[in-house]
Amino acid sequence: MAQRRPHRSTRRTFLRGAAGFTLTVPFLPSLFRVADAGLAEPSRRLVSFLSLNGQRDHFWPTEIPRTPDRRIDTNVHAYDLSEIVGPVSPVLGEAFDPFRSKLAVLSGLDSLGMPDHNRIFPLTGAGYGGGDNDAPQVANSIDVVLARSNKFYPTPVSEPVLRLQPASDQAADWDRNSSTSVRDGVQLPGDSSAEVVFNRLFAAPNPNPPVPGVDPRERQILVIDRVKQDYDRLRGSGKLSGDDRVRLDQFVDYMRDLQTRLAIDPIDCDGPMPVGEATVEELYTNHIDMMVAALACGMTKIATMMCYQSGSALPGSNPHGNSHETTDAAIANDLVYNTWTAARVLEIIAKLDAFVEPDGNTLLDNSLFMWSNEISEGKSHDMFGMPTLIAGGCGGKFRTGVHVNFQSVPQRDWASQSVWLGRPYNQLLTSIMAAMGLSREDWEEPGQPGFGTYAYLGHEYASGGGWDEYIGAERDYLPYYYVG
Amino acid sequence: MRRVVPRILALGLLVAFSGCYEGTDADPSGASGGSGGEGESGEGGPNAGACEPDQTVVSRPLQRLSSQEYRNTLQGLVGPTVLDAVRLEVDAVPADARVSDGLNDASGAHVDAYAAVAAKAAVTLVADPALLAGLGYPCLETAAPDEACVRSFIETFGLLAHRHPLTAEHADDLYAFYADPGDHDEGLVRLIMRLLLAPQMLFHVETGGELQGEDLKLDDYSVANRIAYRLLGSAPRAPLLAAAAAGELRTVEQLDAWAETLLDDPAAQEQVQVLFDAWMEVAGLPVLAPDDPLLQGLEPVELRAATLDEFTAFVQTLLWEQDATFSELMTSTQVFPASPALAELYGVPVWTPGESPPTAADRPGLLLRAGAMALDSNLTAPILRGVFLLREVLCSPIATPGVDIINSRLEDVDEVDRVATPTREAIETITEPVGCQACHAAINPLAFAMQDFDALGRSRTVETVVGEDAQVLATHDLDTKVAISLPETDSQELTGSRELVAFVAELSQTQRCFSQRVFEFTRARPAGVQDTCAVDQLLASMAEGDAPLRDLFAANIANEQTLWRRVED
Repeated sequence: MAQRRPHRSTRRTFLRGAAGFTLTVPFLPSLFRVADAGLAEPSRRLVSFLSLNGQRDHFWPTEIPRTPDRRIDTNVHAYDLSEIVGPVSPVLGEAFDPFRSKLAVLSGLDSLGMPDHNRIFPLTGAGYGGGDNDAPQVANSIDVVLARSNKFYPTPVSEPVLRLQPASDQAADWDRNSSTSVRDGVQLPGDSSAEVVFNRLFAAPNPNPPVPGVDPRERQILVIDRVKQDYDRLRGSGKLSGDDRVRLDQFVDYMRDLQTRLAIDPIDCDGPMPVGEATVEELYTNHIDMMVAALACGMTKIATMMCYQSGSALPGSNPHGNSHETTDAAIANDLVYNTWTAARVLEIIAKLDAFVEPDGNTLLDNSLFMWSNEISEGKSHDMFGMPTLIAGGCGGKFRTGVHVNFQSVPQRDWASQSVWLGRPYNQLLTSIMAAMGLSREDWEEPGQPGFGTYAYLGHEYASGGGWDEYIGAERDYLPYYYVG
Repeated sequence: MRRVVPRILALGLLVAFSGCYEGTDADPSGASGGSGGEGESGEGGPNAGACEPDQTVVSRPLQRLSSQEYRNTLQGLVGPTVLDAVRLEVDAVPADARVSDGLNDASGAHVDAYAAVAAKAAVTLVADPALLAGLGYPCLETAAPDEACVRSFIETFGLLAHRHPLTAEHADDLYAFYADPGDHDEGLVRLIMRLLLAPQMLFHVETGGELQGEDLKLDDYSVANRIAYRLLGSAPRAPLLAAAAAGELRTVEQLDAWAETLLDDPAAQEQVQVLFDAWMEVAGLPVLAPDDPLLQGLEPVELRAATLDEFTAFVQTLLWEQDATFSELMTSTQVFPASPALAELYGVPVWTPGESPPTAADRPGLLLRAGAMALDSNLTAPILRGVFLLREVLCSPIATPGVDIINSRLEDVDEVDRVATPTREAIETITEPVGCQACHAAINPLAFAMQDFDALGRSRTVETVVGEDAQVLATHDLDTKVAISLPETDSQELTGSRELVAFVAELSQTQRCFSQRVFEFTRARPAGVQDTCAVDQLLASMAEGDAPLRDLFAANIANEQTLWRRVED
């Protein structure tokens, strides 16, 4: 069994790493007792990742034309992502394939807020009152609602919401140096310094340390070792054919591969070792490692990360400018930018999935990770069909491995998502809060059914008509996708 | 019928390359004789039902449990509560291909999923000893179970997981493995994980028995496994295991007795239903948009559920209450619409379960259930139905054109003036090129004969073209008169689907195809050339469609082949 490191990381440890060490110190795995596991409800987490300026068709699964054949219910069309031959999409490339069964792509979720660069959109479903610099339309984002609830946090934690914004040029345009969170009508700041976050999270003892016990990953490795012997024993039977033995050998090879992957320990609850910050990728890795460690080690159950830097700080330079252009070069740059962003998303997903929880699920399985954009696409600032990638099923509360389209008539053309009525994005947010154990009285304002704003149903982007169907549906959860 | 085929793919079937029929390792149509039967299997062959052991005892590579078998087996081991707790992990087991397309080999994703299931199921069970007690291991509820208790668990759980008794040496090894960590909970978790990952758990391991040359005379437990998986889709239960322990599974007569017993078991009847659902592809039944003019005001979600229920009631009633023959199954005019919506679609009174069903003379047999007919487009429905009949009911394999060809033909379809052109005329025009006719010469007649049902499976006498706002744009006379040419018959002139299904039901090609589908489904693998004689045996049990179908399911178990396995190095 792996042993906890005898000393606690310090600020000096962080600085030494940030100075350029790329040494990868193995993270300790989770530790738990069998008696703590079982059928108890898993500890569910929420992770929100926001990138800006919308998406193009390269984000969406190329198989949308198939959805008309897969109508599940009114305004619900779905098919398994496993049915897609090749990558899910150019942005969600082959690297996402190992996690395909844990992903969900949601189409046809419409924002009811004012169209703009609404950085508060992912967790409010809304934007700012009259424009980009006005007050938020919603008093509290769902992370705040959750953090205030003793249903979600029956035991206080050191960091109810970890708000991260790895960025080096905060003064850039469209960027308020703030997180996606709103509390009492005020947009909250995010942390952009990995060092500050490290010191806050890991300098003091963790008030909720993992209970010492057995490492499930090491247990898996140990058991598989013996199981391989069982396969070898069977292989020696004189009553098997040569083909049979080939199949057994192949199976044992797969088990060996699994053991290799299990042997890579993912988490250090004493504080992850920084990998340096010479590149923007390292900057993100440091933030991601801290975020995953905080989630895995009980320091928080909610994390948000805003991913945006203007200018040429990220690949596919000038993302905002590109998003407004339709030239081939701009589209190509957008793909570079969004693919780079997807790599950060993938890093989070992979690290969440590498941690095995006491209930046998991975941290990703017990979480709802959402990658959002603040507008659906850049040129027109559309708010229809908000690009939404989910990973993890929140401990079985949501379907995974699916593409669900909520449009009344699913469109193959991403740009046509504005043509047909979808469902309010707000229904995703209420579904999430319900999945986390809250009930309507926890998020509804007096006299206002549902969550968020329905005040802008008549705004200029609603010219397609039909949005009044949302009235009366404010309390609906997302059908089919939310299992409950 | 093949509604799960995307429209784009379905339309691609309009086009074919030279050489319509795709290659398979068996030609069950009887058209070319295949092998084993060598030209005689079209009628079942003179030797059908009397195959020599060399013709029926075949070598098949070690096969993993299908995803459905795995799920069922797991439930039998850990119970429904734990199965529900691990449903995410079980869902991660990759879905199998259609059985007739071949069962995929195990992959890394399978191993990952199996390992995750084992870990979580074991932890869940051990964390709540009441669950273990509920499964029949009450002594494990105590805080510190003694060695006898754990050894008893190893013996019983091991028997169920391996589906074969453990040797004393193996049981000792497992106990030592349990005891190694020095902690009961931890040891038990590891032990259960190991058993859930054992090759005997995940594969159909058949090494028990006596080797006679290269043929293995299977022991009773291996035979019990074959019986259980073929009839129940799951591991043998206690009575069958007891019969194995008593050495009562060694003759064809004993197998026949067990087949008859198990066929009265609701679990076996449910498994047969799964077979029919898969054969008729009812899972792909569409849910139309509420404003789809096809519905004519019917509620789509309710209609879909009612359609599925009617399909199930039809199969279950005919097979198990009426002991129907294949011919009766294919031609019975009984209908079972328990919902007003489906009764309206069928044009009959609502059926009350437990009472005599109404009849619908225009809807004879399995193939004309709405559950087997419904599609989502009037234009493509005839072709899809024709392709389905050829592929699934007659077992005539048809090549599927490439996507580029499909896309090019889609443009032609989109240009069809539906108001001015009846569907038959449109399809004839689109499939007129010689390249298309390689397949469509066979597909189109079947398609056109079934035009007297709309895409929803509603009987009709004229073709009505309806606009998006449900207004009638045009009506066309239906022309359902066709000439059908199949390998075993002279050209046959037929009019409409009623005559077509009556004709198809009597073909030995159809009966043999059904025999093949049963063979494949119950073994979770496609039939190969080497299985020709075994399939012929099933065909013979149908007595040209006049024997109760129950006999076929019994014959699928009660034969000499069930007792043997060939081992080829």
